[in-house]
Amino acid sequence: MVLLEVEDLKVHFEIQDGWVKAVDGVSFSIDSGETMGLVGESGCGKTTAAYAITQLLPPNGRIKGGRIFFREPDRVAAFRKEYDWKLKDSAKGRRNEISRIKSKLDELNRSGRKSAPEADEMRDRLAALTYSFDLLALSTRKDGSLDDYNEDIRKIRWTQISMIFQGAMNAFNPVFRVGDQIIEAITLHEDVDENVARERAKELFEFVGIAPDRIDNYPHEFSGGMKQRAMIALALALNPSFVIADEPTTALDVITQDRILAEIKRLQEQLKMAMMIITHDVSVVAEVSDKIGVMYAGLIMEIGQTSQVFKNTAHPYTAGLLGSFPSVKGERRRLVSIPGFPPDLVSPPSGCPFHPRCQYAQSKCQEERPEGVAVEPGHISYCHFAEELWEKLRRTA
Amino acid sequence: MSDAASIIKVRNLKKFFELKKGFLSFGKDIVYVKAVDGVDFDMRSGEILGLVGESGCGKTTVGRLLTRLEDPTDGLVFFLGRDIALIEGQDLKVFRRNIQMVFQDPYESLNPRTTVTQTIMEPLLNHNIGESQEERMEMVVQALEDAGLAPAKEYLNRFPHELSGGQRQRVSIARALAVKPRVIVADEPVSMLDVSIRAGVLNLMLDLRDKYGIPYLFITHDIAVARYISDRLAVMYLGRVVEMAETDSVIFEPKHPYTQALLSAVPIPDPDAKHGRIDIKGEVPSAADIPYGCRFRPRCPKAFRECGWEAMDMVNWLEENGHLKEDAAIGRAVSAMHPDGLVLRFDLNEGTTPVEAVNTIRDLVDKGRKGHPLLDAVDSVDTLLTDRVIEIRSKPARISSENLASELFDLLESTVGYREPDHPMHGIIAGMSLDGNRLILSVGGGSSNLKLAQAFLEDYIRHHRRKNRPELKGAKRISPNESDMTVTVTCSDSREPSAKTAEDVSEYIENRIAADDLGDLAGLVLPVEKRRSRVRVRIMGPEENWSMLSDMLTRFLTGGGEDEDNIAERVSKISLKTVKGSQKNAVAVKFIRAEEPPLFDVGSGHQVACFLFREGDVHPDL
Repeated sequence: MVLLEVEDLKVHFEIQDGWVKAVDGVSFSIDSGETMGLVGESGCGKTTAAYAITQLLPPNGRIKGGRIFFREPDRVAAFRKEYDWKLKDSAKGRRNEISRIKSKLDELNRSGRKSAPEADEMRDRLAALTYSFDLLALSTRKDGSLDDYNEDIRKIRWTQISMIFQGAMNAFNPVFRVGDQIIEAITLHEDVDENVARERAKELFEFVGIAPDRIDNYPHEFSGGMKQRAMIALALALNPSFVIADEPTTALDVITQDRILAEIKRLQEQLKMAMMIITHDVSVVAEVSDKIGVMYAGLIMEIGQTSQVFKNTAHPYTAGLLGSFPSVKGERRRLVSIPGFPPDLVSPPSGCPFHPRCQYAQSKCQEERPEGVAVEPGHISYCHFAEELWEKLRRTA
Repeated sequence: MSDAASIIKVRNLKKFFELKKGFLSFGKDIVYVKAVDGVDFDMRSGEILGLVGESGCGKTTVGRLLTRLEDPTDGLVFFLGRDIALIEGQDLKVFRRNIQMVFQDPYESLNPRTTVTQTIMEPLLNHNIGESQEERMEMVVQALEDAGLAPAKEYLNRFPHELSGGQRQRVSIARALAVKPRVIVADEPVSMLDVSIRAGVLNLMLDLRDKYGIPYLFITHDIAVARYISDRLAVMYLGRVVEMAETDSVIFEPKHPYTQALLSAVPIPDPDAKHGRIDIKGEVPSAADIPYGCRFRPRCPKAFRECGWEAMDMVNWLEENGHLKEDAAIGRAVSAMHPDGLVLRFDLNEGTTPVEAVNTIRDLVDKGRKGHPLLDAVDSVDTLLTDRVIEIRSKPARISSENLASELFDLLESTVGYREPDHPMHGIIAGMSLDGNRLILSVGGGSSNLKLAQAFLEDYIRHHRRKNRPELKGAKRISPNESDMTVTVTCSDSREPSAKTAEDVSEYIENRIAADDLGDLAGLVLPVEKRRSRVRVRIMGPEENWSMLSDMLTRFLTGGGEDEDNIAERVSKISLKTVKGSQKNAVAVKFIRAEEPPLFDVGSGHQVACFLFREGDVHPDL
């Protein structure tokens, strides 16, 4: 069951030289209870995509298009009412779209093409429109900037969608006790008194493997791994259904990293929540994710189940990324590096953004941005030649 | 590989940093962060030695000590057979040229105001390399093309901000290469680079090694990267190398429990690979408070009796197992615990006699001995009279001129590699001999070498006298003799200060205890304490033990005949004292002494610092 669906999301940043197209048309979906890894090098837009979901863009960030559907049965009715009312007359309005899709489906039914691929797509869309609501529609202002203080979004943020921030070292306020910062998050969102929140914070500490009596410590009294655990406790404080972890183990030592990853896996299995893990390290993703999206220059290059992407690689960039990672245990082969360096996102290359560095690039790649090609069920490669390259790029398992 | 092929030899290298404390700690002992605490390794010509470890393990400090960006607290670094601490003046410049560094952050390590040409040209000018500007320019171009920045023309006039991260790191490498160094120390050179760029820089470094045969010390926290690039790997933990071998031996047959845990934690970029996780307890202890014995022991899943258990471990164990609760036998008897190194002292509640307490604790220890290595390591449990102490005062000692000459001879032999072809004194010092109170250096080559040898000896003796051999004051007269081409050091009688003789005394006592000369008492003597010129000895058990020990020590320390260490000359007074104001009756638990495990060879150059691999030891796990 789809929990979150991102559709053609575009987030640009205004700077002196023009617009940085940090995220330029990204689509993916996450089921409830599923972990998705978003991998890419620095500056590929993975963090921006995540911040758009939590609606925490910097002031110069603008939503230039797309929708983020979030499924929350308890509240969807209430939100939908308001949302429907807001977009009553707009062509983008939900009701209008539903009736449009319904009539198209009827048409297909009549012509006997009930099982056509576009019909499936429309039915999915219909389901999304019926059970989910668009997070962006709630808070996007006319100019594309996000209203951080939108009441509806504030109700969702942290209670439904929470985040483990990059660099736990600095994510806590150094002048407040760690426990108090968790208690604050609880009391702010729920109508409970401080003692109840304190007990909850203690339980959370125990849950993530920190002694509950450390709740009154200040952040500097924690080691790196403990801060990261406390950060996880903070993200779990309100029992969210979706957690975004932004580089959760970067800057941690191997042994600590391993423990935190094990912890994340355990929590995820126990709490059955959906997660998105953003990282530059493919080995971290291989350890914890069910599904992987590989991003490059603001676009998704390849997306699929973890083993599909790793074993049946269908995009030259993914192949290059995996090929440039040394392995501890595998055979010691010469690493293959990708020539060149990542593009400037103010004026990204035309067509496929990877074509200047791609050894298989042809003139078509320069002209057209590739559409997604489903090379196998649930495995999509955004490459013109995915079908042809698939066999060649496939790694011998 | 033969010893001569070692470009760098590191022996017992130590670097302690003083911990800055507030002014309220005035007068208290200085606390040191022991960043590097006894590191040994060799770097062979043409090889890449990977130095891996977690953050704070001291790997970067080792790199800085090798390049003399820091001076060691103790220990030696030999570069081409020469002790780098002694290099001065013009030689230092040559040394700096020969050992180059590549730093972690290419955004910080290049000057933003100089072009690529200027950046690489600067070291060439500094070291007077190249005859003309044209020649130097050619070298710059060559270095850039070697570093994969071809055609070099395109890059010559760029500023760092016009380069990508990978290109900047290549410029750093070109700068290091341009002066044709003998060794490169690379400190995390790829950790700031993106994955797709990193592979290119790693391949470049491998290719350059193959082309020029320059050895690297490659410092990194990333084990996958270290495995890819290194020929040999050294794994560091808390300031020491714990395991060292050919890369694949470390990766596929890790022997040290720490290496095993570390490797099991490395994530593998393959979703199907499931690794068996070996979890170790807790976190890395502070480098300011390093555990006794083996420094990995508190976290080690395989720790056994000999690994160095101490009082603090017993406190934790008692607490964890509920023995301190009010209704437990020990909890009832004990009012306070004072862990102090190897000795745990218990203060007793009123109504508990020391004998009862001793029996309770002995019972507990004896029952648990088989099950827990901590209890197995208990040496003795007995009463302790806390108000006594045997104090030995030491006095400055005379060193005869002959002894001084022979000490100097040993020092020179062990630290100056003049026999090796690369050593600057090679061919100048032809040989050394002793003649009574004179040390005679025969000098080879022309008479100008006499001056060199004399200057070298003067520097050498001054350096060591200041460092930790004050007695070398007596080796002052250094005279060259042109007729037979020798330089003679004539030693006169000298003195060791009392702080130094106290060390000899305490070492002597410890040796007597270890040699079992004290009979039954040996197990009861607490570790010897040394304070400046005083040595204090204490013993557990009843009153009479004190007088027996006092008598024995007096006999050993003043008695004549067999005393080859001249120990009697160093002792001024032995007294059994009563200290005021302490509690009279207590009970103590003393643990067996332990050493820090050195590197044991387990075959084909694979070295492991773990007592599991000490020859002759039988361990249940092996």
